[in-house]
Amino acid sequence: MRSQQWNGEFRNQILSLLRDRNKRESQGFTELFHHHEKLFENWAAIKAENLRLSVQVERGYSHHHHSSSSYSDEREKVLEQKILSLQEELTELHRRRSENASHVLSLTAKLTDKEAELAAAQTQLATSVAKCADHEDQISFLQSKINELEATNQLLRDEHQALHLAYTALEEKHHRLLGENKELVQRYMEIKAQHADFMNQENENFVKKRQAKVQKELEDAAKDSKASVILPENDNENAGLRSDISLLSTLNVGCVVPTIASHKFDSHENEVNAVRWSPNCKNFATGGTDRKVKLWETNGNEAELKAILTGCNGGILSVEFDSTGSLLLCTSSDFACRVWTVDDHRLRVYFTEIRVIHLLYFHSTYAFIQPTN
Amino acid sequence: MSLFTQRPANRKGQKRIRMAEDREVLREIWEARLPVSFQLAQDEVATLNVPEPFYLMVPRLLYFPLVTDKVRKHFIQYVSPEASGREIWLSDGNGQPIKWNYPIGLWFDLFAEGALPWTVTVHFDGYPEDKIMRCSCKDTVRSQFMSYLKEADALKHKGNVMNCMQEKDHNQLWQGFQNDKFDQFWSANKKLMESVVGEGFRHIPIKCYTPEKLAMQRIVKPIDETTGTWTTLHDALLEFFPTIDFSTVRVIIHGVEPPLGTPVQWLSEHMSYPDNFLHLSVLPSTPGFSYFSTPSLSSPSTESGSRVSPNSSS
Repeated sequence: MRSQQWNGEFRNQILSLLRDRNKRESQGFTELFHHHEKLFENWAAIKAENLRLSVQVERGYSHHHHSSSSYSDEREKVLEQKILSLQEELTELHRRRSENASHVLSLTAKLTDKEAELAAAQTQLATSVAKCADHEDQISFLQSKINELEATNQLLRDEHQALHLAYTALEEKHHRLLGENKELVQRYMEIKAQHADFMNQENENFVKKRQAKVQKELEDAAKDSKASVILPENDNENAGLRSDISLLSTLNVGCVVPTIASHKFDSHENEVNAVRWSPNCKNFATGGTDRKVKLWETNGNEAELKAILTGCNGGILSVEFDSTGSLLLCTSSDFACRVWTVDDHRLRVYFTEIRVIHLLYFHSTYAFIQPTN
Repeated sequence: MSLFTQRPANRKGQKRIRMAEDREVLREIWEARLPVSFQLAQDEVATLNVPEPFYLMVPRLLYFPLVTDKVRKHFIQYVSPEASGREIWLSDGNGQPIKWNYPIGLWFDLFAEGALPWTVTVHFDGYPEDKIMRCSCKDTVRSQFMSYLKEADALKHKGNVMNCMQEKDHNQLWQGFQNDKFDQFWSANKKLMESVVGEGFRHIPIKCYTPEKLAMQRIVKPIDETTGTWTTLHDALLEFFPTIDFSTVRVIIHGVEPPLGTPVQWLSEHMSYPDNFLHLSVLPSTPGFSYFSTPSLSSPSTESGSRVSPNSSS
């Protein structure tokens, strides 16, 4: 048996005691109290009703009493009441007047306030207007400046465009000239080649002629010797003779590299760039980097300085005689060509702005010049 | 009786929690009402006609400030205007001011001598501040009530249950109590009544009252350590009055005299007031009675009234 399953005798005993108590203490009284409360409420309501009715009765009675009083009395009362109400009205009006006066005062104060405000606002407005005008001036000034700048800009642009156009035109011209130049050079080369061929042929012809002349002379000579001198039929002697003849012939015809200088002299202060024989085979010209062209005459053993041709502003690159030997042309590194007459040593013709490297051919009436690039 | 007071063999590790569940008893106690006739004090009547007494059925478990709103309203038109704004206070038939922090039923049991309806006098004037506390609003009652609950829980469970409760549970306790809602109150209060099977509470929150001396407290354990049996009401009373002669006194709780052999654990679970205290009224059954048969014993006992509630100023 668990000790805390409380269902012992004491529990029932207590429960019944509690029930008895409740019965004793509250059963009868609950109803009684409830009833009493109800009665009390009723009583209060009736009391209030009674009071109300008695007041009503009293009022009714007094009303009755009033209605029975005399007419004049009533009239007097009415008038009195009227007076009273009028007095009341008067005081009310007085009160209102004073209120209005105070109201007017406050309104005037407000008005002055507002006026001050208005003046302040007006001054503000004036300053603002002035400021505005200032700003407008500035704006117009800036606008005009902008316009000016724009005009300048336009002008510059136009100029630029014109220049550009000129430039392109020039460039085109340049191209055309270059093309022409190329063509001319080509033509020149052709002519030169023809000329060279022609020269070769002439040389050949000359050599042939000479050979033929020599052979003829030799044959003549041989005929003479045969006639006068009996040439031994010795092979050795004949062979030697023949070899001598052939040697002679070769000397006359072929080229020999000179090995011995017949004469030596100082011609220029610096390097010697150009040397050329005159067609008369007596004179020759030299040119050097000392900007001088010198004319010499030789008699086989020594050279005699005949003239110094000055006028060049750069080193002499090449010199050339014309075919008659009366004119001398030279090119120099100052982009110029000059022509002198040989007899009186005077400068005759002068070209500038030509970059000349080499004189190719010179004739009394025309010259070929190889330009740089 | 011996069957119930025998302490059971408590097996370790099998601590079942049980709680008060005898709703029949609990309801009888909860629904107790007392008929009270409120009367205005004669010398405070300021009108010509004497006011009617105000009759009201008041719950035994409540405190007076929670029910006297209507009473005050009823009497306020009969007192002088300067007194009408004041706080009212009550006195019983003996002219003794009623302490509002005692449950109504307890005061009735102690001082009314069973006369029904109980006549209570209403006062507006002369609040006896030296005898009873001011009670300006219902929050004062609430804080008083909650502090009693905490004290009781401290005795029963070292205060653990009350501390673990949330504010809303506290609120439920108070609202259930104040508005007379049995289910609302007990759904929260049952946690406070939980105990380990076979062990009971740590201590029983119990207060003992005599007309001469109010709110005595002693440490009462639910189980007698020496014999290992449940402590009975008889044993508990011996803690308060070691030489009491039970033939000369009546022990009253909730207006009834429970058998002296009832275990205090059961009493605490079922017959405690909502503040979780067991309030025992000990009254003489014969006039000229003394609770302590020998004066030599009575003086140390009263002095060593170990814990007396600070409210019992008498």
